[in-house]
Amino acid sequence: MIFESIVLVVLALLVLVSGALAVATSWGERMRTALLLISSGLLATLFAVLGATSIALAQLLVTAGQGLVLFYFVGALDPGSEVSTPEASADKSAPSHWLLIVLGIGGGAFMASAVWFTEAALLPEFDKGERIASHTAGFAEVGRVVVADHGVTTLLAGLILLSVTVTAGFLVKGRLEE
Amino acid sequence: MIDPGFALGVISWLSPLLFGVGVAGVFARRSSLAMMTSLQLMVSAGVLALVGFDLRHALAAAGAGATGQGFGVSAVILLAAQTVVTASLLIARARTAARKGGPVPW
Repeated sequence: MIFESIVLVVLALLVLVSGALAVATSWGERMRTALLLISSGLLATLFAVLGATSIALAQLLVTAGQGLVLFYFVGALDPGSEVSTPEASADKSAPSHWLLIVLGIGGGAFMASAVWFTEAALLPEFDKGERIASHTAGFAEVGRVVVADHGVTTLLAGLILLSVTVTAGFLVKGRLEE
Repeated sequence: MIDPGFALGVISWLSPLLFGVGVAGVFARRSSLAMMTSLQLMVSAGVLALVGFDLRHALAAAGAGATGQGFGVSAVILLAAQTVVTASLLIARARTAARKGGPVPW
C-alpha cells in the first residue's frame, strides 16, 4: 500500500509538472503540445492506479487519438510551419504573465472552492444514513451496472457514438471546404 | 488496493491545481490546438474530481461506489466527441485558409 501511495503522489506531481511546463515555458510549439499530451497520458495512468479502469481506458484512447490528429494529420506543429505563438505574434494585446498567473490561481481557487463547497454540502447527507440510503444505493447501483456489469457494452456504445461524431465532423468539414 | 482516504487527499489538491493549469493554458497559448488540449486538461480535472467524490461516497457508504465512475466515463466520451468535432473544424479552417494563400490560423 505504501508503494502504491508513492506511485500515486509521483504520478500526480508528474501530471502537474508536465502541464505547468507546457503552459509556462517558451519552448517550441511541438515540445509544449507533446508535454500537454504526456500530462493527459499520465492522468490516464493515475486513473488506473485509483482503480477507475474504465475511465483510464477511455482517457488513454482520447489522448492517443488527439496525439494522432495533432502530430500526424494536422502536421501544423512541424518545425517551420506558421504557428501563432505569443512570442511570434504581432498582436500586442497578448496577455501578460501576471494576468496568466492571476487567471491560473483564480481558476484553481474556483475549482477548489467548488470541490470544498460540494463536499461540505454533501457530507451531512452521507452521514444521515437511512433516510437517503435508498437514493445513494440507487445511484450506486446504476454506477455498478454501468461500470462493472456492462463495462464492455458501455465502451462499445462510446465507440459507436465516437464513430458517428467522427462521420458528422468530416461531413461538416467537407461542407466547409466546398 | 490503494487507501481511499489517502487517494482522496491527493485528488483534493491535484484536481484544482490541474484545473488551474488548464485555465492558464487556455489564456497563455495562442494556438487553437493547444487551447483545445488545455480545455481537455480542465475537463480531465473535473473527471478526477468525480472519481474523488466516488471514493468519498464509497468511504461514507460501505460497499457503495462506482457512481462517479459511471458519470466519469460519460464525461470522457463526450470529451472525445467534442475533441473530434473541434479538430475537424480547425483542420477545415486551416485548409481553407491555406488554399486561399493566407497563413495557417492555428
